[in-house]
Amino acid sequence: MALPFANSIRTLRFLHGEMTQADLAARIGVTRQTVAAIEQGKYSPSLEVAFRIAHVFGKPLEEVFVWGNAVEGQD
Amino acid sequence: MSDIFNIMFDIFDMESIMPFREKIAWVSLVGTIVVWGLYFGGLALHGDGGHDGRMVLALVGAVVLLVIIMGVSSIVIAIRNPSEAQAPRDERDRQIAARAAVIAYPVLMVAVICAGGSAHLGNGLFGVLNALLGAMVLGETVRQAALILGYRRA
Repeated sequence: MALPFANSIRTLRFLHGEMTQADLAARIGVTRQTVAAIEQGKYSPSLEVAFRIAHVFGKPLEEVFVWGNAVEGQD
Repeated sequence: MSDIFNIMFDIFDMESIMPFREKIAWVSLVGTIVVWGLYFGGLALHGDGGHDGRMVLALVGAVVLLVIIMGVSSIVIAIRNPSEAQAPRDERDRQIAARAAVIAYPVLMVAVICAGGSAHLGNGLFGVLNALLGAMVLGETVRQAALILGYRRA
């Protein structure tokens, strides 16, 4: 089941010197497969991991994770 | 059939994207099914063999065989994926493991109660012990299968 929010991790990795999933995973303390699952919208990270990702890219949380259009009007 | 070969290839492939812990779960699942399948198959064919000690010997053999299969496979997988093998479980690993335990626990409980209840249906001590062993094998099989499903979905 798709998550109700999207993320721009892949774009941000590209903009940060084509950072690999493994590099990002090492910096936030998870496995490469977890980063891949988050990127693909298959896994919803904890708030702590979400903040760690945003911190790595120097962006506010809401620029990394965006509530999806598909669920607009539900909240 | 080719899917099964692809999965078996992925388990020992260094470049595979399959998580280390999913590989271990696959080895555990296949090893458990094969080893205990052989044991319980033998038990079904020679049901009363426990009295002359042959099934006890088979039980010890099954445990030793499973330990060898798991030990060798885990070492080979860890050597081919050293960084992942050394990495601690992250939050997704813990969440998948917790969900698998939640799925397997009721199965184990029902199977243990059935195994204990079989004593009232004339099952002897050796039979009840085997039924309890079967309950644990069933619970572990369900847990490993749930782990694999968890990694495939999340």
